Amino acid sequence: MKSLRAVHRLIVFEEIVLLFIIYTGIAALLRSAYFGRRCLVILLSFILIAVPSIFIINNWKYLNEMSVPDEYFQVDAYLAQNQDEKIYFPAYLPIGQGINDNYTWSKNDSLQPTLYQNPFSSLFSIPKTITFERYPFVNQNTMDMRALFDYSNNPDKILGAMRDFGTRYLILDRNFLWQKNFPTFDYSKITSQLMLVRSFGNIDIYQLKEATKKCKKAYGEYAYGYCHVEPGERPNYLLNMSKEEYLITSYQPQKDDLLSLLRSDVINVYHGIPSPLLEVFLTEKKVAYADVMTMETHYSDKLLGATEAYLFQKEIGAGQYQLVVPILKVTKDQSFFKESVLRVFVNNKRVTTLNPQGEKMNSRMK
Amino acid sequence: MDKTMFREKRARFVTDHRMVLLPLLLLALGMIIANFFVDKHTAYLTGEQVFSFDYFGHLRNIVHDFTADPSTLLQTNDCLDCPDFYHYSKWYSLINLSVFSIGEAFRIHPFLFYVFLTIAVQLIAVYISFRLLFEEVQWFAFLVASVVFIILPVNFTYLGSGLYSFHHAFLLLSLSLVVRVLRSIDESSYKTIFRWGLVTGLASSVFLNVSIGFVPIFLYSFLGVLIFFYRKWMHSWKKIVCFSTTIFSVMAVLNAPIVLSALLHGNSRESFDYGKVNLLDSLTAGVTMVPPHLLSLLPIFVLSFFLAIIVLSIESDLNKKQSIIFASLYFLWLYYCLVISFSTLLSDIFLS
Repeated sequence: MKSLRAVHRLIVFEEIVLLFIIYTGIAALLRSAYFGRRCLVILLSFILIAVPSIFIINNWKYLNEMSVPDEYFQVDAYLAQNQDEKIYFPAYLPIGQGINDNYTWSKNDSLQPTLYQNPFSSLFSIPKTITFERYPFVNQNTMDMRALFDYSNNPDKILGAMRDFGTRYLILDRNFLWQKNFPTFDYSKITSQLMLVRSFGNIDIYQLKEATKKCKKAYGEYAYGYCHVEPGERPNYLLNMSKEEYLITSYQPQKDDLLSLLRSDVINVYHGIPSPLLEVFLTEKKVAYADVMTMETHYSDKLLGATEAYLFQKEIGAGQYQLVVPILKVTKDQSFFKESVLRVFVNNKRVTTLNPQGEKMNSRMK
Repeated sequence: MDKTMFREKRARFVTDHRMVLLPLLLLALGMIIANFFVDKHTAYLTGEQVFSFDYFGHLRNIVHDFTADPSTLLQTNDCLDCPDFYHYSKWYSLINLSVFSIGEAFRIHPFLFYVFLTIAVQLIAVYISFRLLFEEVQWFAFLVASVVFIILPVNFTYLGSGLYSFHHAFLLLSLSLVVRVLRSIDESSYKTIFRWGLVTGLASSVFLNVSIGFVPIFLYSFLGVLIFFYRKWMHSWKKIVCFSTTIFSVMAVLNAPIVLSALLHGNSRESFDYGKVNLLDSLTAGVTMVPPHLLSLLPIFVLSFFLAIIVLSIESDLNKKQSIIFASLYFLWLYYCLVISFSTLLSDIFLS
């Protein structure tokens, strides 16, 4: 559900009005010399302050009060300067779960849960820690890693993924209620293959050896034995992905090129002039382009209407043109754009058809 | 001589502002005493509250990221691989967590400092506002009104929803500054107007940086105050342009990631999928996308604005014709919002 809490924020007007009413009211009553009115001020003031105070006292459990064991402070100090990639186990929690009721030291008697899932990226701050807290993920790399680190996977697969991603340290938290959240996951199958560096109470820090076997540099979905290329690096393999699709998703704008391709379920097709710099760039390069026409997948009517619409229609003089239509890659299988095609017409005659989402392949990249 | 003058000035300052300095002093003392007794390992967590024992660690990480990749400075919600704790952007967190790190520097327990800051900021904001708006401030009325303003139940429940107390304090302060400037805009020089604009812009930026949701609230309030003092600035329209430009320039600079995201993507929070806010939704204060469970708030919201419009029409400098045009615009806007709101609701129901 799409929602914005701005409506709640409008309460501020009522609060400000209340502030001025109370101030001017009490100030006016105090100007009076009558003893009765002054008594009324005292009574009113008492009631005004007592009512919210009683509410706060009665709802004090709104806050999760918990005593964090000393070992967390020790781990935080120990790893404060360590800039190697680390992962904290649990790497993620089931959606909706927070710190408040998933640790031996956290209580579950609060009226409101906590939002944060990982003590080391909220209560403490360890550098270079891989996190999967943000949902939905907007980064392909994070999505991929999250898929591999899923605790329903084989522990060997998780360990392999850690090696592939160059993770150097595993911080295992045994205070976490593993049995409650991931009853089938046995972390000992992973830790038995790692070197224990340090233990602080129920928190163990393990070190991984650097990957000895070179993985196959790939891009796309996951397959064990393949690892993702670094940004800017060309993959040797595409996994369940067409070459066109790869080109779209991996396109990196140049310095003077403001066209951006963002991974999202919103399709942005440029037509019009989003920025003067972009206009200059496109004019110089004789590029025809289309403004930001945002079509959200939530609105099927807009979406269906757009499929039949011309994204760009403009009379242009003779010359050589390059048509740049940045289309975002669609990640959801059920999306309307999965089978989208782009048809280019000149003088009402179709000159080409492009289908960036088609022709999946799982083979060596040509 | 200078020292004597300084002492005299300081003594005068303390005497003049004792009604706010004394409560602040007591509050600070209370915080210091409580700090001796509170368990340093105790965390108070709720909702989105940014409670941390290591704010400096977060700041260090953010600065490290900025150094490694300067483009993250301007990233909004797509600050990739950010922990949830960083909310909208690393820029937002840098400002937000810097404030809380002050307590850490003085070894004050994070929750105690948070409570102190919440109360102190509101108390100071109310005091400055009263000083700007009233000729004389009655100390007892000020204290009672401030305490009620600070401890209103809704503010307590907002403890878990970010920093609403700061939003409220700075919104009050900004609006009071705008009123103060507009009251005497005829007599003020451009230099004075520019200075007031800087201060107002700074006050407005603080809550904006914390929450983009306050943009429309500030805009409407600002416009409301402008309408109220219509005749005051009508003959000094150049000054009002100077004032507004200064305010919005400061706001834009201090909220560069949000502004950039809105300009480039038409969205203040790029890639924020499940709470997507476009310009229309932002400018209609979210009324276009009120979810069903909040629809009950709609009458309160509409009524508040309706009352504001009536007061503005009657009490402002507008003549009858202008009032009618103004009220018509309001009803047109209201109609538009309602239509959009219900059509969104219906489409959500049918699509789901």
